[in-house]
Amino acid sequence: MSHPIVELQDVHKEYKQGKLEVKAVNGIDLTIEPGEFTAICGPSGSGKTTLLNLIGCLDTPTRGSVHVDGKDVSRLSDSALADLRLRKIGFVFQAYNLVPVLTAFENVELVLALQGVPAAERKKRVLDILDEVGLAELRHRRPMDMSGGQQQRVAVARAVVANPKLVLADEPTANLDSHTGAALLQMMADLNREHQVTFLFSTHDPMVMDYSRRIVRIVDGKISSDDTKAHGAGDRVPAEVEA
Amino acid sequence: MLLLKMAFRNLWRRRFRTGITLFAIGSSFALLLFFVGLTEGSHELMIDLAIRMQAGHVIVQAPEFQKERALELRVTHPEKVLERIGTLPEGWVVTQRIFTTGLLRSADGSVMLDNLMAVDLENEKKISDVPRKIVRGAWLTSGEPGILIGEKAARLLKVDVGDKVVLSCSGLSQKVEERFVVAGVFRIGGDSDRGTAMIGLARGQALLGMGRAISQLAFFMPSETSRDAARMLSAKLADLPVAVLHWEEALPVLTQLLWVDDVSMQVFIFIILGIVAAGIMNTVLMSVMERTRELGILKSLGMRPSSIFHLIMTESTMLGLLAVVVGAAVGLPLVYYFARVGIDPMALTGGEVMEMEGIAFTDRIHPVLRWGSGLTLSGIIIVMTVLSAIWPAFRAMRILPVKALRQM
Repeated sequence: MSHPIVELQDVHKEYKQGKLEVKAVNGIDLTIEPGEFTAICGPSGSGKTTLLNLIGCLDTPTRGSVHVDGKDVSRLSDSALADLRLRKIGFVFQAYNLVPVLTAFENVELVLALQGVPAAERKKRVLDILDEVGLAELRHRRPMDMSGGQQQRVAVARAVVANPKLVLADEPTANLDSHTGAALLQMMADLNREHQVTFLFSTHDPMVMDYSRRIVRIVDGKISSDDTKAHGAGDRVPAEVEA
Repeated sequence: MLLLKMAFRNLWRRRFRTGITLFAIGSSFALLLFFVGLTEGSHELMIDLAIRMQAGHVIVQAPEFQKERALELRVTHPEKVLERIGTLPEGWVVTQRIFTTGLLRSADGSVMLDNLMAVDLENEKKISDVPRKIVRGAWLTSGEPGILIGEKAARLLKVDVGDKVVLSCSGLSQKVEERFVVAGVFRIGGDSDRGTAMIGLARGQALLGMGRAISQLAFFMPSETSRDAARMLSAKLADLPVAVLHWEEALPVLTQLLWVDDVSMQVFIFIILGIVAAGIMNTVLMSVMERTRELGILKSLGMRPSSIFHLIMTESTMLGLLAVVVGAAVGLPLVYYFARVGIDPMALTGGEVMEMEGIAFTDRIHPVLRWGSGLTLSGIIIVMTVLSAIWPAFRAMRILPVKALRQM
């Protein structure tokens, strides 16, 4: 039986900032089904990045439960969490966050190497995905020799190369111009449609919301609205349906 | 393989810093190679000289002679000892000696001899340091009433080769006195040039009324076999009234000095390594702190904490290996050069002649570096580099991705 990729139940996250207690996430229930292309949006400080970190097993909730691919992550050790991130989740960060000493090819290969995929298979899969994101020619370049858009495409390739169940993208277009951002979103929409990769964005970029089929708005750590559209801007909709 | 590549490239991200660290570890390693070589070389020289002049690799003497060098404490029948031992193994030399004290006089002065030796002329010549340090005259000839004296004694007595001197000493039963001709003058350095003199064994035995008795039989052999030889001789001579001593027992002051020197060297090594270790730890820690965000990203991608630990440890192991290569490239030629030309020991003591147990160390010291010592030092440097990185690696392992990702 198919289960949600992500299931949050009454999730709270509180931080101490000096003597002040900050409720970054304040009782959120959220379910993400396989194949979704969803944006979590809200103003700065609304808790969207914290929520993404909780879903990505980078942080643990103060209260409530987080299930990723059916597993209660609060019960997992550091190593088990690392394993879960490695095999089930891909990350795309706002600042690209590629490893500077590795080439584009090696950055993408790293995830497969950590998974223990044999070298020959790694090579094939990395070349395929770099080809798909249009960077096969630049595979020997290091991050410092690539533009922001190119680096972000490498980051997307790294996030999806191991066929994760879920890709979490934190403000992926924030450092890109609108043209590059749109191209990147289209590429992710294509990956979502063709490979059924589930994408979950944290953003306040209207373009990301345009491309998303579901938009979850957060204000002060709580969900204020949860809307679903039939199509996102990146979906290739047949003409008669669009008409 | 990818992690190795990553570790290697990480090392060179800060070339200048890595270069300085490599220089620090490498030059410390080179320095240690040199000093360990110098210590081993000087120890070999000390042992060699002391053995040749005062003992042997193994000596056989009267049981009490080690405590009190009295003429009465003698080996009365050295021929029985040699007969019991049988044919000497190849490469062995045995010489017989009498040690006593005396007074040497000339028309112009007198000198106290605190080390008057009557020696087996043929065999002593093979092993003693004196023959090659004769500056005037020649080694003693059997049957002639010759005596070898030091340069200082010759100056004090105002005599030279061919001059006559009178030797007075206590024999076994009475005071004795005899005229000798100076056959040669030696310069071995220090007070030995005043207080040491040599005469032939047969002449000494006759003068001192010793009959065939001697003070000591000294055996020389390849030094690495000396312990086994001492055990073998002890077993063979167990029922004779003699003591068999390895040179370490026969020359306790030297043995103790070598031990103290070894301990000092170990303390020196420990201090140098401690300073270097602190430097390495600082370098690795800085490198980890600088990369907090990147390490956090690696963890968020799914790299296990243990793999992060291994990554940092691999980087420092590479640093250690490179430092050993750099250090060896500098240190080995240094040791090789000084092993060839030698070092004047007086340059190390500020112009003073180093003396011990009546032996002056004036020969040039040639550093000796054995494979074992070199490899052990290399191992210590690598292990120390790796150990210094444990704490920074542990910190890297404990980095929380969510905190690391917040860093700019």
